[in-house]
Amino acid sequence: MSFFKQLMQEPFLAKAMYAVLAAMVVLNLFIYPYNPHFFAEKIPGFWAAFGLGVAVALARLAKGAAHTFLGKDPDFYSKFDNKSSEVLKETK
Amino acid sequence: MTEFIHPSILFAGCALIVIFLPVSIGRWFPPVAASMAVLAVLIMPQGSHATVNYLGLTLSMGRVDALSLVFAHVFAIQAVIGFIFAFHIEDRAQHVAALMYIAGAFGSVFAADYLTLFIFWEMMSVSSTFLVWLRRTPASTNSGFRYFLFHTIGGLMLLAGLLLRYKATGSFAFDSVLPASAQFYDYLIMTGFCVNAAVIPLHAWLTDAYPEATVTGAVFMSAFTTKTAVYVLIRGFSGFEILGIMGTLMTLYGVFYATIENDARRILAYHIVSQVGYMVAGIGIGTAMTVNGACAHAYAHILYKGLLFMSAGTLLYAAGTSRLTELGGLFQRMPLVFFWYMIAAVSISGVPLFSGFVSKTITIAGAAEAHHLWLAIGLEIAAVGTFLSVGIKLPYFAFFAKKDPGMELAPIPVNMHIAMGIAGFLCFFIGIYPNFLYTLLPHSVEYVPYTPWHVLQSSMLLGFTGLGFYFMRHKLKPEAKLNLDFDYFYRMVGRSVLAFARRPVEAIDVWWGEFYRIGGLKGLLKMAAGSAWFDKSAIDGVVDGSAYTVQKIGRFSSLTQSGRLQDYLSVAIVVALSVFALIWFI
Repeated sequence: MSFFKQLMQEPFLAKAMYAVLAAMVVLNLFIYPYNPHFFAEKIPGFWAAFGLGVAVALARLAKGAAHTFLGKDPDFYSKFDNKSSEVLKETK
Repeated sequence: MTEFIHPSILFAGCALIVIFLPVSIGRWFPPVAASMAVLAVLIMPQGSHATVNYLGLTLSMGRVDALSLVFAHVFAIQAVIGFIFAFHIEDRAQHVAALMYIAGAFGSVFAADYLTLFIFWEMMSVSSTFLVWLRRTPASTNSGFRYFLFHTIGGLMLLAGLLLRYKATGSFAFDSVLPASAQFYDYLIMTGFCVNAAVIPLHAWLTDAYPEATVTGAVFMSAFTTKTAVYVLIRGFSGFEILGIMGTLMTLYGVFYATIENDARRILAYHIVSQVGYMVAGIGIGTAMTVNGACAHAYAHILYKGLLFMSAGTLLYAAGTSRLTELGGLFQRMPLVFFWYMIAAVSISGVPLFSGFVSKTITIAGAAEAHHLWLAIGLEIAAVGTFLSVGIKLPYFAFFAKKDPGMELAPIPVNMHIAMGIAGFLCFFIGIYPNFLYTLLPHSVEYVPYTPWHVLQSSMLLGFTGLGFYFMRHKLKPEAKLNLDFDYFYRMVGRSVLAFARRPVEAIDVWWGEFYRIGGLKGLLKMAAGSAWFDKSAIDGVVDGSAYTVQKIGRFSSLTQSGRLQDYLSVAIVVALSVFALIWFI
């Protein structure tokens, strides 16, 4: 019940989006591949779940990596470049 | 009977004209030359043309067949669009660099032997470096050097491979290699091609240099370097399974980084890696359907990626920054740029009715039909990531997300809008009329993109990706961070060389200087005293004349010693071209 309560509080555009997405999954009951490339393609809504799952997983994974070991300060490289330029100037 | 006019001649000839004319007149010529190139491509007959004997070798510069024509077709169209977009530029050097770069790309596409290919390949490499340097910022200068070094390494691999190949086979012919009979030298050549195709982990030059290039330079570079590499990989290395795997990894790697990047043009650069991955995967799988998919996707990609770089470049041009953290809320003031951007964004994402839908799905369906199920699933994951980062995240944070920051926007020249309009129209036109593209492909096409299932499957995939973004929109907020990539390791190599030069080499130099001062200098002084006596008593009169000459030469050559490697490189190229020309005419 709380899910529907929450749904009704969403802005109009979000509700419209939910409606269109739900309609697509319903359509998937009637429109399906004649020659599925693998078993799961026969399940109605498989590609919907795939899209949602991959989008959420990718956002979590990539942001997680950025926050732990990939993300550095914007001057991470330029600090060294500037230092090298100073050394070169001194050498000259 | 129609003639073969090599488009490279049109572009190189135009460059020669632009050098000598005032830029206000000269800038009219590149769009005209590009339009003539479109015509030349449309009328050129298939076959072998422009065979010349040079230094005792036979060079074939005009191999025209279905495969080279697909690429030449879209190269010529993109050249027209690019030069219209760059029309307002008042820097003559940028026009010349772009013209020579495109001349190199056409030369590579029509080359039928490795030697011709190598010459044009290097021409592209040098001229594109100038498209980075000509932004004239410290960051672009540094980035241009890294770009040039990396392409030089790739070029040397190609050179080593083609020379070893010549030694083994006695031929420079550039033909298809069967995976089972590939030798070490073939793999060297393929690695050289893979550098330009930005195959991971050889890709970091692209995401390093493209965002630092000039606004218009990035538009040209996004179209030609990687796609020429795709062409030569199709020509030489179709069916190499390693390419299928690496291509799929590229698609995933590119979208992963695009999801966390902050700079709009760097996001797009990562998407080149990702989208070229589809093509490389298609080449690696190597069936007629996936090779068709690679060609079709290259064609569509050049147009929509050009449009993406044009619209992101326009943001940079107008707002002075392409960092998403500094942009936002610009929709009200730049609605048309948003519109052009979104046409390209839905095209790259494979939304039905746009070009990516009719090209990308051929490769994915081809991979599945060739029983490479995991590769096909990998490509679908990348399709989700593409829509997430380029289709929604980038425009949301650049044009909406927060209040207009109120920065002053430079007026956008009308030629930029015209170029974006042409590209936008073509993205839509190919989407609704795929046969325009399919009839150009090298193999016959049995694929039908617009079936109810294909449309519903794509709509569900992308629609629910949108839902995923909606849920994760706060987490995906851009941050002013730099993300480590493989260029970290390249830079480490550079730093090691520098450290080596500063410590052991410097120490040896100091020691040698001291030794020379104590031991060598005294002896030399005595010798000099003897010579001075001899000089005064005998030679003065004779030598005075030549001394003045030497002094003059010294003064002249000191003018060329500006201390800037870019200048030395330019002089070296001019001297090399003069020597080639002399040998040619003699």
